[in-house]
Amino acid sequence: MNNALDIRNLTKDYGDFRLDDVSFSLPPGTIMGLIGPNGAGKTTVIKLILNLLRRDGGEVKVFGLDNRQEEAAVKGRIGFVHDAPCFYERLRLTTIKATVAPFYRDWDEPLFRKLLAEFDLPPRKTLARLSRGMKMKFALALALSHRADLIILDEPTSGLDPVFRHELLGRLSGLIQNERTSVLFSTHITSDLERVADFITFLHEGRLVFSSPKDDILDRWAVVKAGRDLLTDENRRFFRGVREREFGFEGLTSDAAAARRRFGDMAVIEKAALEDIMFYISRGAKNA
Amino acid sequence: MLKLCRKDFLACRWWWMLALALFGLNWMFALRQSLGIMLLTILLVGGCLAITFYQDQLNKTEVLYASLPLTRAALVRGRYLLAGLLSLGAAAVSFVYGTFLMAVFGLSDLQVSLKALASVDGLVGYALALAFLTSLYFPLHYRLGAGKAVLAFFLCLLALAVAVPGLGELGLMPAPLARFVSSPGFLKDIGLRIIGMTGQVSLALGTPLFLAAAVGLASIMIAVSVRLSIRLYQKADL
Repeated sequence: MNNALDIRNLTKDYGDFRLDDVSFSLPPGTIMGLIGPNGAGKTTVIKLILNLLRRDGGEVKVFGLDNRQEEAAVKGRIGFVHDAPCFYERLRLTTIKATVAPFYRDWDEPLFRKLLAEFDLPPRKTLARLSRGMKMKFALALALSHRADLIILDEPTSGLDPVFRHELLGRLSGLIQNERTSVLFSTHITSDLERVADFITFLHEGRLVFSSPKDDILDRWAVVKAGRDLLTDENRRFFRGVREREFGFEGLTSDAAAARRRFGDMAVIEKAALEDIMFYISRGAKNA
Repeated sequence: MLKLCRKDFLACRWWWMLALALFGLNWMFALRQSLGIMLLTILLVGGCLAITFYQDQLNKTEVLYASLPLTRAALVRGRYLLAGLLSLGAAAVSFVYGTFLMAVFGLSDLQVSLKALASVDGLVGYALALAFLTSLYFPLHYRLGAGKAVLAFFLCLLALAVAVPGLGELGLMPAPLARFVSSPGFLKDIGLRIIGMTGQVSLALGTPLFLAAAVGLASIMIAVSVRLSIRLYQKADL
């Protein structure tokens, strides 16, 4: 069975920013979190998948189909939520739906109605009168109503209240239960991903830091806390990022086992959260 | 592609109605030139298209519709089809509204103008004018975006307005055409003169050949323009 998404050596050069040689795959029936600080290239990757940007190199395959040569077929299988809603603001929700639904062969009108009711969205209200969170919910309702095989969400939880965020994550987990639907989900809120993601892809300054199963990452990456006397030049090189404090330091490593061998009982070694990884790597790059 | 036109209709129908209302009021003060009503009708089409492009830009909907199961080529062709449908609709509205004004208010001044629009020569002139303007504007739009494209479009028209008589003066234009555009009566009633000239061509060629030539010319302009617009839009980052 083809992967939901296969990205190979994807490159896009803006002059002042370059997405450089990014490769990763998303197996069917899984959720992948796309993380990275602002400007890391997350939205660029998503726009390249949707063919909204012209790539300078590499290839993007969705269910084995090239996203440029089979553009319409590929997009017919994708449900998307962009980071900023891009609908006609002065139209009612039902009218916006009427401008989108005819383009999908598998549009499921009863499901759309059901989602509007579940998300408490008033069908006769105009989009301009909805809050950002409500607009995101509407975008999500549209994305889910044509039974897409790949759902791509760009920062969908920003602006959502914690209750709906929780519901959304539950819904995403529910979607993949058919082992056919996959989700690519970009976010800053890494705790959301720790709850639902199967894979994590981390981008930093346009480069891929890693793309691995979440459990592997959380097993392999660790934060080492120790006294400053242990922060020798050699040990500093061992870490992917270091934060120095008055009486000690904290360092991020991608090899928890090696850290245990190296520091033994002289340091406290804790599992790294995704947020720690993002923080230390971004900070490390700034200090470099 | 009709689905794309329907989408534009749903998104812009109230704004189009507003343009239509302004068009209705303007007609009361229409130029008494024979081209007056045709000019207003072309302006109505241009106005409706400008509204449609403006709504896209305002709401950033290009990103949305380019994410749907559509190719960029289909999106571009949809807009050309919309221009064609708006041109047909505007001509029909003009004719019905003009007839209504003449019947109810007895505005006989409109008779010449309406006759020009309703004649074969007038309709061919109207279609060629719209084909030319659309063919010029759309590639600029897909290359430069809505704002800059309008500026570039009017600069091109201005350049043409200067270049045509200029080329005539310099002897770089066929003599009959140069004499025609620089004749004193031309500026007095441009529409009547242009329609008169198309009428002469029509008489010389015979109606079937004249129509075939007009359709051929319009088709070439539109085909080149569509191809160019698609190429430009396919290269654009959204």
